[in-house]
Amino acid sequence: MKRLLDYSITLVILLILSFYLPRLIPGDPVSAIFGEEAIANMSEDMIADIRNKMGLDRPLWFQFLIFLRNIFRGDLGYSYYYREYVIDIIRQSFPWTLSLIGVSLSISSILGFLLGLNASYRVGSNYDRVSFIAMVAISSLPEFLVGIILLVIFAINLKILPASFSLSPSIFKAFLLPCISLICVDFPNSYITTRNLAVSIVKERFIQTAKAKLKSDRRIKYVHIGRNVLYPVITRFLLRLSHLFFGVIFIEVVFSYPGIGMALYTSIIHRDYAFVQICVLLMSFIIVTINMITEYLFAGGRT
Amino acid sequence: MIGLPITYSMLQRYEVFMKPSGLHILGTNEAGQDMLLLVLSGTLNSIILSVLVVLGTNIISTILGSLMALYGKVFERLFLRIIDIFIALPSNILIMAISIYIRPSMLWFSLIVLIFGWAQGTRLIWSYTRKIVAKDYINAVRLFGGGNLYILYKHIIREIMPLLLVIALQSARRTILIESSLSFLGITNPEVVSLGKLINNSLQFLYLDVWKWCLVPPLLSLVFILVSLGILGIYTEGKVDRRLKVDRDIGP
Repeated sequence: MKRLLDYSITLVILLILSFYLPRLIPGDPVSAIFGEEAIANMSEDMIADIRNKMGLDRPLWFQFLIFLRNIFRGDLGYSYYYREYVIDIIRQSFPWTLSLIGVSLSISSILGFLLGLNASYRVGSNYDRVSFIAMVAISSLPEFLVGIILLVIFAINLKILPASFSLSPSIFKAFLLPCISLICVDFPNSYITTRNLAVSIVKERFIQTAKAKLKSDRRIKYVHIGRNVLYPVITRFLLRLSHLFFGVIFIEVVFSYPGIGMALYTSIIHRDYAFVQICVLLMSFIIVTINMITEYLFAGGRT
Repeated sequence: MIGLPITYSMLQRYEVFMKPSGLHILGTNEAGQDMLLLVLSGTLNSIILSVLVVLGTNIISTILGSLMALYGKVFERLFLRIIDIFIALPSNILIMAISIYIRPSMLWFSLIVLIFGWAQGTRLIWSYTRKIVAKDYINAVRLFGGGNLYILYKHIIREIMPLLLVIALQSARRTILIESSLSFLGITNPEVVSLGKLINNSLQFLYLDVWKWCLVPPLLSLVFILVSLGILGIYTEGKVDRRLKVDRDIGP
């Protein structure tokens, strides 16, 4: 319950920050929210209309209430670079991001689970040491570096996969490289978590009992140990899901994948801040909500 | 003040996209600047930034974390709640959002990273200091009239030294990670040389042959920094855990 309160305070802080940040910079808040280029293209009437709608002549707390009301109504503003409503951009790009994260996180979790169990059974061996260090090395790289390294190898040197995303000739081939990069980003974490959890299970008495009963190695590994680490592994899955919502931005930018991260990047470089404000709010809300749900479901559970 | 951080305008310009030669060991980039010099100054800038953040994190977490454990009561409870809230905040996205709006200079950027990064270290120091404070010899010191600040200065700082190393490595890694990621997106100060920016600039010329000397050196340099910090971090964490008898099962 205490943690739920913390998370609700966090959500309120996020709302206030996303409202207050554009007003923090010196100058006109209209140009901060919509970007200077958008303002240059607008007529006087449009600017006056926006001022009126945002209540810029009213006190700050009243503007905040207007901001909240608009969000709850689903009126998220209009992006002048895309010439579309912000909610429509999100509606188009969000499924792409979600499918990329979903597919690669599932694959990396399953792979990491299986290989991590395998490594825990051979703890202390050369295979375990080498793969552990390699995993630590990969997991300390930022997402965009992993993406670029794969891009240079597969798209520039070997020329077997397309460097940037396009629907033709094959959507599957274009999807492959971003997906592999995200798997590479997440797999080390999944592997190390499973391995470290399983190492402490291997020492337990019931594993000795199972060995004494001449159960096969494979059965001990994947059933006896696997069942005992499943719970924290699911927690890891949820926590990484929220973590990857930030990391996926960079993978999308490297491969120009049409997801929400790419849309965010485009609006940053064109200084179209109407989308940036809502997108940052949305992503941080998703992250905090997933963390909250994870903690609510798994608090007090075996860790 | 002393020419730091190094900016693009400080570097001399030569011919554009020269191949590596004796004069320019790594060739030149799209603005005609020497690539070796750019990579070195980008690395130097990241190191300066992470030193700033590490100093800040360590000072805050040592003082605040141990004072929380020493004074206890309302002071401890209040700051624990604040720490919990800060840990729950999605720090990466917020650092990004703030940088988009105010395009901070290096000093401001280190302050922003510090604001969103002090909580974990402070929590770690607090949880360890709490165990020390419960020990008998601290009670003895108190009995002889030693105050909280005396205990902090004479006993606690010595005991938590190894933890400070762990926190320093973690925050250095996180700082370089977020700085290079954000400068890759081009949302840090555009004047300051940075490895992420060098990588992003050379990505636009992938189909020319220049990527071999424009992309690979900054990329490898960043990989070396981050991988060495990561491996060093895991090893010290394992060692410190064993020394402080914390059972966390990390490291081979």
